Amino acid sequence: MQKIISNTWSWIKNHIPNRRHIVQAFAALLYNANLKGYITGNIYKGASKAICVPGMNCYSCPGAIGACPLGSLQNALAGAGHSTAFYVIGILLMYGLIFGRTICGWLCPFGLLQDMLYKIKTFKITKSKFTRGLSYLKYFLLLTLVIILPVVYGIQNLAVPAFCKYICPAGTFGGAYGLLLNPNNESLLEMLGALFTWKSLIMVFFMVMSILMFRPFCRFVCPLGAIYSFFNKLNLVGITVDKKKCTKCGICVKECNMDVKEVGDHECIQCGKCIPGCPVKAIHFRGPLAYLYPGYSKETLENREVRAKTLSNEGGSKND
Amino acid sequence: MEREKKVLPLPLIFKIATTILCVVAGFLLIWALGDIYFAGKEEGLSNVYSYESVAKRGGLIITALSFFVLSLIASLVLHFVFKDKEKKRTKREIFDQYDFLKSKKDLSLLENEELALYKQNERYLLIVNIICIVLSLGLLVFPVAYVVNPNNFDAHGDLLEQAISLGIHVLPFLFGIYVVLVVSYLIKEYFMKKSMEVLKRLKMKKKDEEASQDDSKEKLVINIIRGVIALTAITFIIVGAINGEVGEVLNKAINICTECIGLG
Repeated sequence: MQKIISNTWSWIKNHIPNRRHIVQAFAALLYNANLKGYITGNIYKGASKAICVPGMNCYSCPGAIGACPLGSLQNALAGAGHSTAFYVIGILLMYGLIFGRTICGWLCPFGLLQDMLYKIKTFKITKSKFTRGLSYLKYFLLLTLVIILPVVYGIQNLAVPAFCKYICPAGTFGGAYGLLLNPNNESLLEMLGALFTWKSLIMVFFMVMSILMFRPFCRFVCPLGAIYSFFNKLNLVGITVDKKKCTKCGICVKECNMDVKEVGDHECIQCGKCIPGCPVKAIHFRGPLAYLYPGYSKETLENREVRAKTLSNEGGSKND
Repeated sequence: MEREKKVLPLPLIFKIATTILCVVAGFLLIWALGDIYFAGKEEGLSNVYSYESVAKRGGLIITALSFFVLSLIASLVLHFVFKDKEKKRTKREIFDQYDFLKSKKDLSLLENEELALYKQNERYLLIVNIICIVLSLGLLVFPVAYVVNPNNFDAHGDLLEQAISLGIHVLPFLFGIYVVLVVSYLIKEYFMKKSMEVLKRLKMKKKDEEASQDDSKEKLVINIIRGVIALTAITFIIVGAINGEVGEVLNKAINICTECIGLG
């Protein structure tokens, strides 16, 4: 009996979510705060939907209280010829400047889903030169499906949000299944066609791959991550490396599950996994994240280092 | 809180094989599903999910998946057969180490002979890369041309015959690409090892003074860029709001976008 209790307790201790996962869960809940929508099967129609949320969260999801930035961008670009996309681009610039890809690591519900799936114990496909090369696919998708196709069709007065329509698994998961699983939306079942099959296959594919490898959608496909990655050296909230301290040992890069070449580059989702592993404590959080993880702020890390040095000196002098 | 994860490192051969076959399987899936969709549209079927229409064309999807699963099993067998040899070679480490050393190189610190040797090795690496890309892309043209040609597939025809024909026309070329990749990989590894011997001798750290000067300059530039982006973002949001784009975003977000969620 005691063994069972101790095993259960150790299991619980090993599975306590870290602060990043708690923030991710809160963000997901905040984006989808219209819980009533899941019962009624209707989407939220309040004024808050005029504002884009930072992460990937379909606005056709019954719980969504904000607009998806990627969907809004495509629809704004699809209005080419008779309207402009300044508002959405302005919001994306602002989010990028403040957070960069910190959004991917901390504020994206689809990222949380992939993180959870990756926790399932099975063999894992590790990062390699191939996955590093494949990580550039998202820039191609951004250019073609999010920008070129919507604009080209938009000029012909056809609204085609190509990425949402043909790829986005977040829309299928949150939007389509969120609505279809509600008995009140029986009429939507008549609309199912080959497109739904295709999107469901894509969704299942990414879910299965998320079990086998770390965040496949974020690493290879997500155009929103591609947009935010341009701001990764400029963002106000995130991770930073003290170049004077850094010995370029490469441990941080090996520790990271993303296809980074160095901490804070365009692939870095600023999750902070590399901070405890740095032997010279050169990596730390800046901005509000330093308050959330006080142990990983620059000051604490420096103080710890000073204290450790003092203690070792004292110990050394006593021994002498 | 972070726990160590048991990770099975997959060899390069396995990755290349599965990747190529994933691409082929993906092509077939896209083609077959597109066929179901467009056939349904052409025939004016309101419900393209009828048992007959899916059963007729679904066979090809199963064929594609069977190819994939079989190759996956074959790759896994290969992996376990050559597992020990892979470990001895430590291929990943060589590539990673080479990348790391190359990113930190400072050629000004090299002596003339070493520089010449390094540059020669880099040149050979580039040539091997170009030959590898040209050859593999050239070989890829044939299977892709076969797969994307709808005349080669008949949804009402004999599936086994089509599958064999597909194998004959696609697999030899894939095997050719595979051979090209492996050979080029071995040659690259040889030159990388030679280059690394030179790179390892380099001093990696710059003087502290130079680093701090660069750091302050970089910070200034970053702050200027941040200011410009912030101003642009605010201006864009205001201009957008004046243009009435807020209403457009709201209008789109409060109505179910059936296209966006894949309902058509």
